[in-house]
Amino acid sequence: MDFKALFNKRVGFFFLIVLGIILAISPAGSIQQPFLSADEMATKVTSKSNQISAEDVAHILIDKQPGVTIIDIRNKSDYEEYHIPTAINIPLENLFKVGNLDQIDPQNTIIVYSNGDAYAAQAWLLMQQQGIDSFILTGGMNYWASAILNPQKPDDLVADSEILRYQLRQSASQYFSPGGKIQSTQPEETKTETQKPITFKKKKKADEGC
Amino acid sequence: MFTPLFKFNFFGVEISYVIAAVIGILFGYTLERAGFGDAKKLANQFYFRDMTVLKVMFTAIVVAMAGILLLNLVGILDIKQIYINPTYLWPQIVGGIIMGIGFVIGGYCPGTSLVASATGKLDGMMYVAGALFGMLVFAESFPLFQDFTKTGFMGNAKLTDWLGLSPGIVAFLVIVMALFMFWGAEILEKKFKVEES
Repeated sequence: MDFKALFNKRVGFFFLIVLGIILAISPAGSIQQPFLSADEMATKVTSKSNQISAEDVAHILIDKQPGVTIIDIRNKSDYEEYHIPTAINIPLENLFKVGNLDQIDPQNTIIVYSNGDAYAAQAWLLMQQQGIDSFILTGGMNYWASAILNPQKPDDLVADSEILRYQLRQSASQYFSPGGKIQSTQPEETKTETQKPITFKKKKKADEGC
Repeated sequence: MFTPLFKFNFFGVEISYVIAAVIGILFGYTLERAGFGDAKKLANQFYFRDMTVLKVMFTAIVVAMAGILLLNLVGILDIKQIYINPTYLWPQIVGGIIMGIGFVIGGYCPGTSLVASATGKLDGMMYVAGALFGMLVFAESFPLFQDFTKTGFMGNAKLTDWLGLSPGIVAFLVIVMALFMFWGAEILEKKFKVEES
């Protein structure tokens, strides 16, 4: 048999057209898992790949990265007392009320937080059930307040990486609350323009690609 | 569905670096064997004498696209888990123009300059040094451009969303476009062919 005939241009042309037609009439590319299986969710939970650290969230906000929606699932009075800048308030009991999640661009990275971890984790689970992917802010507002708003100097005998994290928190703290204390008013308005732009050397979690 | 393997925790970050290195070596080797480590061959592209680069690019697009779609069709690949570089329209247009000018002037693109350096070509090494210097200048002057780099954000823009067509139809259109490009490239090559002296 003459294999050379298989590699001539006409055969290639014909093959590609056939391939194109097969793809065009097939549902290729639209097949997706609507829900994560329980096993996959368990893997995500134990590997903590569904969590995002307060430092990373601070980085996203300081960098003004687009395409991120932060949802505060605490009640309205907590939200009004203090919330992470740019966060929108949808209390957990209203999270799945009609229209509340529709206002969010489905392509956006969604980050949910509550005071601790528990409510946010449950919100994550419920959202997974609805086919919505999201991240939990590790430690919630409690950790945000202690790490970003009021960073404590680590002891002398800690790893260098911990000192770097402290420096990151400290610079983020200046960004989010210039006085070093939790602001009771809307923090967006207290953002001072005179602050030096804070640049982070740390790469964000979702960085991939070439 | 169990791929992308990394996203489904088949291996950790360390192993992923090893796999990336192996794929990278194979990629570089293939580029060099295809003649992409030679600035003269690459520059001929801009005189329409040798359209290999264009043909290779469109072949790569079609192979990758068909592979992804077919793996999805048979239920192996979860497309939603694939990382898509987000689109920032204006900075990417400007970056593309700068990169194109650099390609015409230097005769390499960033990837092929590394391929050329690997085989000891001095022009490739100079190109890499220039690229590194450019990165340093860009990084140091980043605050000047910072606001611009965020303009025209379109998220994970895809042709399917933009055209409102199914992935299969878009794939068919891309294949037709690739075939048209192959055909056009050969015509240009014939027209601008230089007689070997």
